[in-house]
This record gives sequence, C-alpha cells and structure tokens, in this order.
Amino acid sequence: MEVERFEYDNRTPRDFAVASIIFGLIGMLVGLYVALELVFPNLNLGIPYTTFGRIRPLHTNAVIFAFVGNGIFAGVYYSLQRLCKTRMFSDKLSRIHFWGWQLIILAAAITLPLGITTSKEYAELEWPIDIAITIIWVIFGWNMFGTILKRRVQHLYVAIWFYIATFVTVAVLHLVNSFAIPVSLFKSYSWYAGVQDALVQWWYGHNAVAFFLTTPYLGLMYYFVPKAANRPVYSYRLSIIHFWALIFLYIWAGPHHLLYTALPDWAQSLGVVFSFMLIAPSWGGMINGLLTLRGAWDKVREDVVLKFMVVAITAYGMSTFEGPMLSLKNVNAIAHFTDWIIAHVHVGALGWNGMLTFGMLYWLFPRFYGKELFSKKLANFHFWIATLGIMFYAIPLYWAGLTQFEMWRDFTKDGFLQYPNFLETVTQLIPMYALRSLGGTLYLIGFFVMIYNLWKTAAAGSFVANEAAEASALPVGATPKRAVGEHWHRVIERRPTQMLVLSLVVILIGGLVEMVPTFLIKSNIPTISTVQPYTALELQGRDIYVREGCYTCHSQMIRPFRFETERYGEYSKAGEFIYDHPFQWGSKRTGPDLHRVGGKYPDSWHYNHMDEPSTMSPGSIMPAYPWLLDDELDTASTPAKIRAMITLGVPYPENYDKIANKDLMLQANQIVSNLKSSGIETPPNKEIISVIAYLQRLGTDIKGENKILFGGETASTNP
Amino acid sequence: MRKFKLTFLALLPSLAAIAQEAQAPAELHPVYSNPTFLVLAITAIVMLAVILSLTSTLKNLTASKQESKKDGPAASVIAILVLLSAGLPAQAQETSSSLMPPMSIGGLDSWIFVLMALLILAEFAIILTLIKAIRNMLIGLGFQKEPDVSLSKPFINWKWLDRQLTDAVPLENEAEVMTDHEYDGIRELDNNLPPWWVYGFYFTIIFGIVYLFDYHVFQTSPLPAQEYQEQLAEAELEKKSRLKEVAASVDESNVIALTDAGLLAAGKDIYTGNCANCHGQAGEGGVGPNLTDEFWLHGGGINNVFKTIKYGVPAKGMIAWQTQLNPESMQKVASYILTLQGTNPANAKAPQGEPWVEVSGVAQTDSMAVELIDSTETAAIQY
Repeated sequence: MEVERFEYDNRTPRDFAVASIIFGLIGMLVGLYVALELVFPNLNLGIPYTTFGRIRPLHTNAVIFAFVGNGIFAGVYYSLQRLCKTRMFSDKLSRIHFWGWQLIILAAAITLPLGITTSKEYAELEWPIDIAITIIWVIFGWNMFGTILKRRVQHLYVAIWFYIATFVTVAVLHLVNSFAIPVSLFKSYSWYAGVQDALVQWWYGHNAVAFFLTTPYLGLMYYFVPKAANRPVYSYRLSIIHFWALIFLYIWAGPHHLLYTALPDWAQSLGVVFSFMLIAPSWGGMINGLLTLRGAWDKVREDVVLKFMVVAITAYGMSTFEGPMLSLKNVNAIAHFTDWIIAHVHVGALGWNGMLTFGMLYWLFPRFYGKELFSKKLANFHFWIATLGIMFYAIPLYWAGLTQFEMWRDFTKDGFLQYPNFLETVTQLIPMYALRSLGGTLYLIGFFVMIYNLWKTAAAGSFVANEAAEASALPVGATPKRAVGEHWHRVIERRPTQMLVLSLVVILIGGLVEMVPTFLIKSNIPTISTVQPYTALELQGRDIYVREGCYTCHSQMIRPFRFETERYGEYSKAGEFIYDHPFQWGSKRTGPDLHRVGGKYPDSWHYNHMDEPSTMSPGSIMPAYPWLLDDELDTASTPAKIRAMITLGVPYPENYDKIANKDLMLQANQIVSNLKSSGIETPPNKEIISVIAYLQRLGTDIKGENKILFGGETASTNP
Repeated sequence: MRKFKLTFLALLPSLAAIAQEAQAPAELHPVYSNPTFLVLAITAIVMLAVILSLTSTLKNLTASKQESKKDGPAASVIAILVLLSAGLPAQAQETSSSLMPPMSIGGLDSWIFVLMALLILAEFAIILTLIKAIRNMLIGLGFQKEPDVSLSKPFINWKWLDRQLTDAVPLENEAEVMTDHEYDGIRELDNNLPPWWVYGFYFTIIFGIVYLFDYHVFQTSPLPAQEYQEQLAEAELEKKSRLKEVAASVDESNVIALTDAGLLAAGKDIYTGNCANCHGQAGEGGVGPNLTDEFWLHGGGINNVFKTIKYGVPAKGMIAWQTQLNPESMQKVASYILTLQGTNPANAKAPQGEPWVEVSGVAQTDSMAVELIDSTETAAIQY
C-alpha cells in the first residue's frame, strides 16, 4: 500500500494549551479571592462586581470551561490527529472553534460579574451565550467527526470512544438544561420550575462533572499515560467494560445532589443506587491507568510527567470512591450543604483535572518546541507544592464540613438546639477557611512556576506548527465484517457513526427514566392549594436575589430532619416550588437556609441587614449590599416578565402584565410605611424594597394566611 | 530545591500558630479544648513533620543515587493520599449513625477520635515505609550491609499478592496477552479483569437491587418523611422523660422575677447574645421597641414579658424563643429586662404601647391572643 505524507496541525493544540494556562491562572486567582472573601468579608471593596455571589460562579465557570475545557481541546486536537494518522478535518473549523470558545469565556467573564446569570450552577451563562456554546460545540463535533471519518487507522482507540461520548452527552445536557424563555437580551427564565428544574439542573450538573471533567480526561489519560510511560495499556477488555458501564451509569446519578429534598423518593433512591454502582466503572479507569505503569514504576520516580499523572489518577480513584459514599443517604445527610462537598470537588478538580493537565502540558511543550523541558527541578518543585497544596486545601475543609454538621444537629438535654444561632456555626469555620486559602496559595505558586518553566522551554526552542508524518491509506471498500476469533467490540470500533449512535442511546436511558415520570405524573409533585404566584414586586425581588447569586451561600430547602425543622421551620414540600422559575434550592449553606425566612424578622431588620449585615448579626461574614438601597428598581421590565411567566403556565389573570406595576407600587408603599414606623426613610422605588418583599414572602404560603390579589383578583390556583 | 523543602518544614509550625490565633476570637467549640484531642492533634502534627523531613532525606539520597530500584517520594505521597482517602469514608460511616446520641471516647465524639486515630495510623504507616525506603537506599549506596535475603522469607509475598489482586499475566510473559492493536505507537494488552474488581461490581449491583426492594417494594426501611416522624417521636419521648426529671417547669403563669445578682448577670449574657441586635445593647430599642421605659406593647411585668419572649409576636417579627431558650433562661432574661426600667439610655426609641402599672403583685392579662407556634403542627397540607 502506498505511504502518504501529511502534516499534523500543532498550532491548534498549542493555542488551546496556552489558553488553558492563561484562564487556569485567572480562574484559580479568582478562586483564591473568593476564598479569602469568606475570611475577610470586606474584601469585595464594597462593589457589586467583586462580591462573592457574583464571582464564585466566575471561578467555577473559569476553572471548568476555560481551564479544563481548553485543556480538553488541547489534548483532543493533539491526540486525535495522531490516533487517526491524519491532520484535523478542517483548519478553518479549528480556528473558529478556538476563537469562538475564547470569546464565550470572555463573555462569561464580563456577564457574570455584572450579575447576568441564570443561577443554574455551572450553567449560569445567559441564553445568547448558551446559543453560542451550542454552535461552537457543534463545530467541535463536526471537526472531530470529519477527522475520524478520514482517518488512516481502521479502528478507534479507547481515547476516541471517550471523546465521542463526551461530545454527544455534553450536547444533550446543554440543550436540555438551558431550555429557557428569554425576557430580554440578558434575562431569561428556566422553562422548568421547582422540583423539575432541580432534577434537570442536577442531572446536568452531575453529568457536567461526568462528561466534561471525567470522560474527556479519561480519554487524555488513555493517550498520554501509555505514551509517557512507553508501556502498553493494561487491559483491552477492561477498557470496553468500564467505558460502556461508566457512560451508562453516570447519567442516572444526578439525584444524589437532591437527597432528602422535595424530589420524589423513588428518584432519590435511583440516584443512590446508580451512584453506588459507579464505583466499579470509575475504578476500572483508575486500574487501567495505574496498571499500565506495571514494570515502569522506576520511571515514575524520574519522570515528572508520570508523577503528575500518577497523583492525578490516584486523586481520581479517591474522589470516585468518596462520591458514591457521599451518595449514601446517611452520609449525604451529614455532608450535604457543608464544606465537605467543596473539599470533595477540589480533590477532583485540583487533583485529577489539575495534575493531569500539568502532566500533559509538561509532555506537550517540549514536543511543540522541539526542546527539552527547561528545568526538571522546577517541575518537581511544582509537583510537590501542588500535592501539598491539595492536602492543605482539602483537609481543613473536610474538618470544617464535619464540624459544621455536628454543630447544626447538636441538641441540648432539654431538647433545644445546642447552637441555635446559625452564625456560631460559621464563625467556628473561619480558621479552616483561612487554612484552605493557604492550600490554594501553595497550588497557585506551583502554577506560576510551571508558567515560567514552560515559557523558558518555548523561548529556547522554535515552534513546530506543522509536524510531518506519514502513514498508509486505509483500503478502499466496505468496512470488514467480523473476522473469525475477532473480539466482537472490534466491529464497533471501525464504525464511528454506530459508536456515536450507540453512545447516545446508552446515555439517554437514565435521563429519560428519571425525568419523564417526574414531568408527567402529577402525584410526583403534590399541589398545595394555598401556594400562589409571586406578586410583581416579589418577582422583581427574586430576580435580584438571582442576580446577586444568593444561592451560592443560602439554600432554600429545609430537609426533613428534626435539627432542621427546629431551626428553620416545617420542611420544604414539592408543591411549594411550582412557580419557581428557576428553582433556588442552592447546594451550600455558608449562611442559613432561607426557605422560611418570610415573616421571621421585621422589614426594618432586612433593610439594616442588607445595608450592613454585622449590625444585625455581629461577626457575620456576609458582604454588605449597600447598592440595593441606592439603586432604583427597573419596573419597565415588569410587563415582559409577567408575560413570560404566563407563557410558562403561571396563573396570573389575563392581561395582568398591563397593570402589574400598579400592584407593585401598592406593595412597595406598604413596605415603605412599615420601614417608616421603625424610623427608616426610603423612597419606594429602590431595589431593596423588592428584595424585602421577596424575602418576606418566602415559605409563608403553606400557612394559608396570605391573601394575595392580582389587580383585585385572586389567581386561579389550579395550574 | 533543598531550600524549598526547608521552607515547607518551617511553614508547618507557623501554620499551626496561625490557626490557633485565628481561632482565638471565635467562641471555641468544646473539641478544641479537649485534652485527648490536643494530644492526638499534636501527635499527628509532629508525625507529619517527621514524614516531611524523612521525605526530604530520601529525596536527597535519590538524587545521589539515580539507579535505585525503590519507589521514591512520589510513591510516599501517593501512599499519604491513598491512606487519607481510605480514612475519610471509614470515618464517614462511623458518623452515619449520626441521628443517635454520639458515643464518646476520652471525652471526644467517637468520630473525631476515629478520624484522628486513622490519621495517626496512616502517618505511622508512611513513616515505616519511608524508613524502609531510606534503609534500602543506604544499602544501595553501600553505607549499610544488605541483610541476607535467602535466610528470611519476606513478610509479605508481593508477587503472590499481585497475582491475587490483579490476575494479571506476569510481566515476563506479556507477549501472551499482547493484542495486535497499535495506535500511534500505543499497544494494548488484554489482561484479565482483576477478580476483586469484578466481584466488587457484582456486589454494588446486588446492593442496588436490594436497596430498591428494601425501600420501595417491601418498604422495610423508612423513607425520609417516615424517618422524620420517627425522629420527632423519639425526641418527644426524651422530652417527656426529661420533664419528669426537672419536675415543675417555669411557665408564664407561675414565673417570678429573679433578684439574685448572679442569675441576673446570666440573664444579661442571654440578652446580649440574642436580644441586643434588635432592642439595643442597653435596651434603648432599634428594630424592636425600647425596653427601658414604662410603655409596653404586649404588657409589662414578669408574666407578660416572659410570655412575649416565649411565644414571640410573629406578625411583628419578634421571634418565639421557646424553641431556643429553656424556661429557666427565659426567666433569667425576662428578669434582667425588667431591671432596665427607668435607666434612660442614650438614643432611646420613642415610647410605644401603653404605660404599665403593676397591681400589687397580681398580673394583669394582656389582650394579645397567643398563637402557639409548633413547627410540627403547621404541616396541615392538603395534598
């Protein structure tokens, strides 16, 4: 057969690698900044754009989609060409993909601090950016599939299976979860409400971990570990079983983020058992990675790339064991809403994704620039300080999580909460938060050292933009049928389209089984007759609650535990959230739960508390929100918001959008007069008034005492 | 490189100091002043320091002897990580019986004790590994004589263990399981699946099936709502037996104003911690009304003040404190509040309500309708 000559495109993976470094640095710096804000609440300098609630999503998005995302693309563009023995399908698509992705990241970095957010965790970006992501993702898939189809290697290597599964699943997740109705260019409401929104969100959220942080990186592991160790992959049949089992089981696991919530019990139980079954397929990946190093452990001591990869794979094994344990109901009861979860995700993010990215970068740069790594010593230093950083990050937070839980649930002998003031349980953790920041700092120091090392490497060499290669073409004609004695899976490996379709089918099953009944069967969300839609003013206040990212520290989900109902009031019921587009259950309690904060304090308490939280709660680490007292509420948006809600099925009276602002002013004036009686003078058109209205409404409908009129009518409460 | 290592070591004690200092202002959770805990914590920290110094020694030795066959610090770090990770879930399981009263070991919650013990155990194992590695290294460098291996059987037969754990074809026979696959120079073996992994997988599947049947078919284990009811019932029982112990408890009908200075001081502490935010440090009022004048919204006198504290005035934002303070505490704080009468603090809020005149020890009743707030009874929901 004739040998063909061609060139690999190194520019695209190099550019993605550089972008991963730049955004990784930014993302981690922002992470350190938000971590320090928990120790020094005034660190936001009194401005909205740097407040915890707005930039914590910036940190998570930057690390997931910019640092790891660009890392994925760097690794995929590098390895895919070589595994397929061909150049990428289209240089033009590669360019569009690269710049498109960076523009999306830029858009995120601008919109999130401005408070433009959907509040759905790891999917905070508003609808125009969501559309851009969809387009760019399709371009990535098109480019990848084009490359696969013109390959010069008959079979697809296991790394590519993972790339394909990543592509289809992320597409499905993104499309379903981002479904929303736009109100304006920068504001939309989730199509789903309450329990259903929560189910969709965490189906997405958990599988963002699975199919953005895990499967593509497993693909990278399967390429770079055998390459760096120069050893054969340990077990082909393990690859097959753990790949299919992993993608099939992962998709079911989302509900473990919602244990003991208002999600139907059967869905919670499915989340538990499928998460538990995930141990084996996850560890299959770890075993296949670590045992590939059999007979090469002496190399691990010397080769810094392998060191990074070994710690990455070990961290992967740890967090994928811890995850299923956390999904067990009784462990989840302890860890949920505490810092334990933050520790858990950082073992994954810093250990698995971070360390594997570093290993990959140290492997790639010398090859991009045809030059040995500038300094092995510095790379070793990076390895050690990063490892130490992870420990200093995780251990204090494990400790903090357990401490906090213990303090939440302790009762005195008389049957009272031992720590009735939530704040006590927070101030207790501040030293842990300080230590965690130190862990983050160590990790960042290592990152800086890496940048210097890679920079020097690049400066000493010259970039090989196009790397010459040769391979013989595939024989023309039909794809061969299964040969005698051939493993059955080989047949799928030479049929990329079938593999794509099969992956799609496998990942759709779990989501469909969990979602369809939750959406269609009414008994899953029992309605409560006294629950009514938000008033126009409350709706506006709720949007400010979303804008400020209150959900990053406050939950709105009281679990059925005595220690929670004693502290917060009756536990949350599914029927209470049917008008919540989007849901605001939150996932972390740095502050107390707010689901039944309505009526708990006077209006003036909230006013003073928002102006300066420490006046009402001395020692509080909540930032002050003085701008809510100064900024005027945008009432021009009310009619469009009401119309959007009507479209979503919220039973406001017909044409209510035209008169909603009249009701809004009535309610605002009522709050203003309440404030006045406590000696606070404020005009009714300030944002704070709407926030107070929303907070005072929270969780009160269930008592059946709220008489809410919409333009003089009662809402029909049978949606 | 060496310098960096030293910095790490120097960092450790200072870190502990920082942590201590940072904790000082906050009210201490009892655990930090527990002697058992302190001993365990100090042991753990000292051992960590030993580990770091051993690691750095080993590292230096490695540098001086490149061809050593022993796993270096990389392996020890992995060991630390693995051991720590193994410790955490175990300790989590320990805590999972959380809803029962915590067991205590040496005055410590058992889970903390277990966590610390595991940590120390892990550190101990690491130190042993490191010492062994250093010894081997020294042997390799010729500083120490190699023990005669032929005389002693190894404590653990690694080859045997490896075979049991992985069921893998030995390295030297690898060609037997080498496939004809080749991708950019990457070859693939086709080793057997590790038996423990296969059985572990089966176990999780069986666990899943049993779990679903347990909760949803046979309904032998309680779902969240039922579990909650059980918790409440249990708490109710405890409360009853406790009430028997305490005998007659103070309530709004029989409460009397305390005069003992010690009890009033305790009342002041409760006031500062819970009431001052809204009523002012000196009772001058703020979000809530002034407590130092003779005007009362819901009646003055010990009985009414006690009642207002106990049941709150939810409509106006006054919390019902009966879920947070026991009757004795409410009596103390109510008594303290009454001592504020006529103190005329600065920035006093304007009077609200009616002037109160004490009628020779007979408590007047207030017209306020008391609504009993019981979180367990608000759940009257129509499904």
